[in-house]
Amino acid sequence: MLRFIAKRLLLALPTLWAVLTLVFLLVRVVPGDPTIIVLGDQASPAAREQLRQRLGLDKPLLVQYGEFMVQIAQGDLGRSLVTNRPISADVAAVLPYTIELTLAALFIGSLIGVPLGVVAAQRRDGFVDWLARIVSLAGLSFPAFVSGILLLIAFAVELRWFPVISTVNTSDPLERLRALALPAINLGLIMVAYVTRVTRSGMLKALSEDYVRTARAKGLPSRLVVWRHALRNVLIPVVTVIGLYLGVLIGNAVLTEIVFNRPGLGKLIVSALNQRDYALLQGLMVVTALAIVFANILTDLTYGLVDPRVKTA
Amino acid sequence: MSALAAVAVVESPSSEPAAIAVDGLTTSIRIAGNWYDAVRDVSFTVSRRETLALVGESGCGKSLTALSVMGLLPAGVGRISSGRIVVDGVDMTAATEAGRQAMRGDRIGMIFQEPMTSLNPVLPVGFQIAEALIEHRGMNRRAAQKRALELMELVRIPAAGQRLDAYPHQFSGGMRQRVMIAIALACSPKVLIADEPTTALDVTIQAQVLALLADLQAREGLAVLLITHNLGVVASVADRVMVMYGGDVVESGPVKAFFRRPTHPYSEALLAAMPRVDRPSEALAPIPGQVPTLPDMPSGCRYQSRCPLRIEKCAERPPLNPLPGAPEHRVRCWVRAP
Repeated sequence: MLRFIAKRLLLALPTLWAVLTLVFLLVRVVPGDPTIIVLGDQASPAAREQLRQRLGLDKPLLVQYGEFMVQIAQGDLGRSLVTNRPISADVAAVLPYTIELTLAALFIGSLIGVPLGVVAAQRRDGFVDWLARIVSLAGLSFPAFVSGILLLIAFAVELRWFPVISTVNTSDPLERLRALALPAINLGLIMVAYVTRVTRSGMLKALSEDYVRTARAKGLPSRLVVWRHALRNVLIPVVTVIGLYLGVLIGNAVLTEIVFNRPGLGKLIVSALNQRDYALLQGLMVVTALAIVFANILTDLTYGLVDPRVKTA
Repeated sequence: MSALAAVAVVESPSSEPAAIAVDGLTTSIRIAGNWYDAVRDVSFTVSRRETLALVGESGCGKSLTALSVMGLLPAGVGRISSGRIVVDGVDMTAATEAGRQAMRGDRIGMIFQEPMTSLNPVLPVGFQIAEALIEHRGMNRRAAQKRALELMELVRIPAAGQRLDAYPHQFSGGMRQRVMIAIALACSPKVLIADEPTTALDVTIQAQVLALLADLQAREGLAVLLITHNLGVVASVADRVMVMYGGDVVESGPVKAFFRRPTHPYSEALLAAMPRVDRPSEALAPIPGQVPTLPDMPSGCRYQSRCPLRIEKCAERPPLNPLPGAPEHRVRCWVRAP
């Protein structure tokens, strides 16, 4: 198992390198002089030259690339052009909120999606199946900001069960959970949709497999046949989908944070865009890319847990 | 078939009560919303230590017969329309699903054709063998694992101790089929149903698995219902044989009598279509035509559309009649056994 983990981590290095290179190039091939974009077209050439030096843009591209890579390796994302604060500190301050939100959504998605998909497949074309199909269709077709606003109107404005603005500056864990609830449900519904679909179709296939017939021939109660024999095999595609859509989830987390006015990477991205803070934007791209690469490694490691064939392969 | 005739067929040749007694079984399957009889009025018995081979080509109803006995017909697609199945004294057709479940894996074991797909790929083989013991014998995991190890040794899996926690993908096809046999025999059942147990295996492995089955049968006194399309397998391991065509039993009898005198035109054709070392291979005679699909099945004798001996009376369904002088050898044919 340790060798498997080491191998996966080693394999992630080239991916990381490629992603970082792409981010580096992306910021630099965008048309327009960044100093004009930051300072405006009325800025004096001297001021622009000064900014250019501060950003290191006067150096040759290869040198810039080398410095960029060394900085990242040291965990340094540079300084914001607007506030001049270290970007890594800004990110570190809000990252826990985004992680909290994403994990909560993942939790809701798996906890509702997997059982819903299993029961839907077991009673194909029955009431639960019908419900599952509606839920997953709704979850897939509502954009996160629309469903977020609808949730806010229903549960925060009308019913007043949850706060409208998800302030999180509280030490009371219950309050914090209450603030997390609606955004997590909003994001979780999308995950429920994906997970239900994959679980349902996976179960429909698994239930007609030979090994399920063997399990029945053994005289196992259908509870064990379904939840132990069939579902264990379906977990493989389910984990794939969860891992694959973790990227989508992070994107939707950004939208959700904006709708619910929650601190997090989302708000940081919006302010970076509004203030044309290129350095901050680059830093955020790096962080997001790292998060997705990390999520993929986690997915691969989870495979090792759910599928014995992966370890030896 | 009258009640009296049915009883006569169920009657086992030995005095011991039959381990499997199937009487007038009709199993229907649903095709495009209509139900068709895929197994028609099938009756047989298998005693302990006896092997009955069920022979026929794909779709003749032999696997459906086995699944009916197990109570494993796919819900909504297959159902038992009439008849009675008694296994080890328990009426499976009258039992509740819970009752049938208690029988499966405990008093009836079953092995399937595809050892590559019949084992769960994500569970260790030792646990897959132990499961039935935990379920039916109330054993704890440790005791069941210990028994699983004994079973793996019984089916002669080399280095069983180290392979208890191995997964199916680490086994060859023959070894997986041995694991399947260990699963089927875990609770020492009285009855073993083997559905094409060697079809997917190499010829040498096939012989090993058949020898193992014969050995275990003698040791445990099993009643074996062997489903196969391989007449060579029938000749080497079966005591009695039953040939099915289109859901009908067309011929049944002791193996020696059957091979000495295959009487139904279909049995004759089957044997003529089998390659043999003592005959030039050009002499292979394929059976002309195809098995009609269930919706197109003719009334009366189901083989009539391909039969060279067809007469007008074949439009009526012939009874399964004993041959003169051989009461155990029965044939369903107006021409050969009027």
